[in-house]
Amino acid sequence: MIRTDKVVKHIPAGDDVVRILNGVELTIAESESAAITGASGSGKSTLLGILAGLDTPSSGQVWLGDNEITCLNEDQRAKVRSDLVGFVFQSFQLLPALTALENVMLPLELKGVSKARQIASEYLRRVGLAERLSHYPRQLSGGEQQRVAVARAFASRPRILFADEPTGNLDLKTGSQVADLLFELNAEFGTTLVLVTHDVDLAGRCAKHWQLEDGLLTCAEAEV
Amino acid sequence: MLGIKLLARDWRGGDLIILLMATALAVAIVTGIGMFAERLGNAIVAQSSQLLGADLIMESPRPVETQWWPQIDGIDQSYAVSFATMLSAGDGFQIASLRAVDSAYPLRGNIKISRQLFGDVEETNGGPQVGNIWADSRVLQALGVEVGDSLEIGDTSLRIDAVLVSEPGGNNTGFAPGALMHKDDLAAARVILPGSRVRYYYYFTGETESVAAFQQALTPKLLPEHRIYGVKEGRPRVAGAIDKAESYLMLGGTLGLVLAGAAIAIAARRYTLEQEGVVAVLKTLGTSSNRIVALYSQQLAGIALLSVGVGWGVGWFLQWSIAQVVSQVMLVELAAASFRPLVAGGVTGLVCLAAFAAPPLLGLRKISPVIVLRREAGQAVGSVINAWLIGGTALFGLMVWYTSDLLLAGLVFAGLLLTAILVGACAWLLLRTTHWAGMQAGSVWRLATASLRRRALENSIQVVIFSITLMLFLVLVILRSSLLQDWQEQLPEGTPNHFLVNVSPAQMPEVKGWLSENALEDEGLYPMVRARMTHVNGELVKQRVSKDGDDTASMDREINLTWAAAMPSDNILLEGEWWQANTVRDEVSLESTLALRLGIVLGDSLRFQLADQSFEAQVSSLREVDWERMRPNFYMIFPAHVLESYPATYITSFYLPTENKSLLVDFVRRFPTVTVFEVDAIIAQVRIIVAQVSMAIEAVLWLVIACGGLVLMATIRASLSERLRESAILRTLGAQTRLIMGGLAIEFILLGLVAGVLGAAGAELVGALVQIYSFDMEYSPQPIVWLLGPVAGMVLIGGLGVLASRKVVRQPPLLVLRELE
Repeated sequence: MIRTDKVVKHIPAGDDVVRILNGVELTIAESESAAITGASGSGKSTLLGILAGLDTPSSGQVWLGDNEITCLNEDQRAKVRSDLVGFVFQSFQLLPALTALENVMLPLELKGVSKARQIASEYLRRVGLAERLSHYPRQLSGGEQQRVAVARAFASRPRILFADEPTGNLDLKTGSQVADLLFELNAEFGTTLVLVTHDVDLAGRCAKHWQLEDGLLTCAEAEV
Repeated sequence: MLGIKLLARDWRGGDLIILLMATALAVAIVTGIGMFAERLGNAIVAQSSQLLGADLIMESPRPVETQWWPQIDGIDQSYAVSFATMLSAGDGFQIASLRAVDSAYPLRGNIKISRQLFGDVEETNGGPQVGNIWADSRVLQALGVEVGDSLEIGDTSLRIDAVLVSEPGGNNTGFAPGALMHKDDLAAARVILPGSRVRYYYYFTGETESVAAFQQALTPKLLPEHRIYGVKEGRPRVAGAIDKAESYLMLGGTLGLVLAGAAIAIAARRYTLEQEGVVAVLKTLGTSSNRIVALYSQQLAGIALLSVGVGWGVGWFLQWSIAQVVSQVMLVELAAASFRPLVAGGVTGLVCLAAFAAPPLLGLRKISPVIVLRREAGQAVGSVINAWLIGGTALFGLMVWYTSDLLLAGLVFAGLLLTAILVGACAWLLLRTTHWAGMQAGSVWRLATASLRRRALENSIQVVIFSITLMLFLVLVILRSSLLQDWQEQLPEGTPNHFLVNVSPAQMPEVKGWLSENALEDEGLYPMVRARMTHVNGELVKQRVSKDGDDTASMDREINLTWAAAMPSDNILLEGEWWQANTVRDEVSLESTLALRLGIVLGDSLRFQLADQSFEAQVSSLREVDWERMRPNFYMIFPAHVLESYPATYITSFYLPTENKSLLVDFVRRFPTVTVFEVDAIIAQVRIIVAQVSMAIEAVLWLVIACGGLVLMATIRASLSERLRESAILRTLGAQTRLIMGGLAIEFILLGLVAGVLGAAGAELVGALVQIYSFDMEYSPQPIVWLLGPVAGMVLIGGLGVLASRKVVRQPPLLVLRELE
């Protein structure tokens, strides 16, 4: 489902060049779950951005499904994302002016799905927020906001879900509830899950676990 | 229409409101001021027409045949015959200036009469009936008659129906005293005989377009002996006041536009910054750039529609409320405005949005979705320089279109630009110094100045906006004061309101004696010789003027010449030199505009004809003459020896208080051959018009101040989130409310002070430019702005700033921080 070939990312910093990724190679099969861990600033989020087609590598190739996204432009990548990809972010990235329900409806509306409201309510109910439909993000706790984000991610039934530190901003208990939810829905819908985290326990729940160090991936622990 | 749906959802976020308000404000300013200016302009013209008695007047020494007039629909016509004749009652005789009018007279304005001598004044919109005469109080006093008695005029006798107090056409050009009769009584009176000095006045009114068309059709048919004039030509002083007031209103509107443009730019920039995150999320959800453009175009269209609608409403309400006040104070009915200001307002709103809001909003398409992972704000907003360039160009275009005055728009724009650059640089330097100063002071000051310094660039931009806003206020204040002062100076208390003409040399000592007996101060007695200028350097004047156009009429008649040893004190010598007292050369000093019109330069030789004699003189100086002063003025002044030998009469002007008006009765009786011109009624009416125009100027000033207040608010709001965030952090660290509010207050007051000082400097600059180049006035510095600017800056910006940041201390810091997330 996801494959990379020698992905390199260099960022110019003044006269210097910061080498973030130095030829990353990975393969993730359909419905598989994979975790990438690493120290702060090791380039985990950069790698996730490139895998998801949000960012482009300095060199190397990335395939999502049958699409080589590294040879597409931003609009073509957007189309691929729209068809295949869902996201959950550390900072939730809910739109502050929209209610929980409207936030979940948004990707459906963008796709022109006709029963957006109905579907979105169903997913919010599924994540336990049936009573919070008309609340704005600032009226929700961190855990609730992240559950809205999870509902939004699954509502458009993506084949791949990218999660960037999904529990990073949450306390231990809430974090594990959100993680449970993620894995539950992942199993239910057969979604491919790619998770970036520095929570080793969370990473341990994935089928594959890589560690990013010096711009290269190393296998952290074989399947659990 | 997902875009509109998103717009509606964002609306609840509240940030769009500022953008919408700013755009609506631009629409409201242009619509409101436009409508008001139009209505007021119409009212003032109508008032001035009343002063004149018509919209257009043609004067002729001979009657004009009905079929001679151009046939234009919608023109009403009336006419009057003006002549001097002897009125008698019993044994008494009195020379009077009579006007025989038709039944349509007056077309504009009212005639004021009273039913008894010095009785209550009533207004009427028609002249006397056939068989009646209205004579002024001096006629009645001189002849010892009352209302109801009869007056003999020529072969007929007319009943005195009322005392004539004033009439619109003014009695200023005839002999004093005056009387009004019906034209149908003329034939029976048989006072107009071949050779009588008679003027025929033809009055015309109608819609502005019809009158213009009529005037255009009439002009080519005019003979040299004809003279036409409308409100502007007939009353140059009034015309000048109206012109300047119009310019001022337009300038006020333009400045309001600049303010609103700035507010839109600020609000759009802020809204765009907030939308960056939204666009990034939309893109991660798979939205293409084109879709983003479509979404935000829909939003823009929605904003445009709403804001134009709201702006029209607000603009209409604004002008309506000002018009209410104005019409109550001025006692004039303001005619409804046309649709033009609505169109102008709508176009302004659309152009402002397209220039200020569209570029950053549509730039959102370039946002990279990756910022959801790594926040790098400010991508879409693009270069500030670019944004201001587009905005500036659009604004300049609007200003030119709106004022139809390239010079005025250019001056204001150049002044703004220059001020922005200078103020920006000064502000940056000043803000850095305040920090140094703050370090020496207490903790509240340290906090405030550190904050100012840390955001020196953002604060400089803010100070530029604050300064320009204050500058625009101050420019309007300067212009208002100097316009009012200028008008005041033109007609100060004690302005001569009566002219004595035709004083013979023999009567001179006696007339002087009479003036001093009654403690009346005259403007000096000037000799007057009437002659015709025939040749310039041997070339016929007629040929000379016909070369460059239609000035023949003005020169092909007798003009008044005078002699003097010294130049009149209020004339200004432009070229050449004034003669020595003992000169024996045949010299002449010429008024400069006449010299320009006839192409006469220093050293040219002019020939004059006087009855069967002629003489020559060489031009030795050119003078500027202020014709608007109510005192004798001359195109040509000679040394005494050139003219002394020709028959001369004398002219003077003096101020006679209204309550002493009856003295004239005595004067006319003692000097029956001297002509008295009364201009007091005109002066009074001009004063009323000037007062009205002044009120309009005040109103516009306040309107623009209101707009400026909103811009200040928008600017403060735009910078608030960062200030709030810092303050909230300080509070979580345990800072006291007093420290935080004190710090914020000092910060805003300092910003206000800096902006006020810089704004005052800018205002002096722009004010001077506009006064000199656009208003054609002398630059008069207004020291008050140096006090007003800083004080207004500190009070307004400090006050609004503290008001806007109260939230910081009223809400729990965590909530503030979370809302700002």
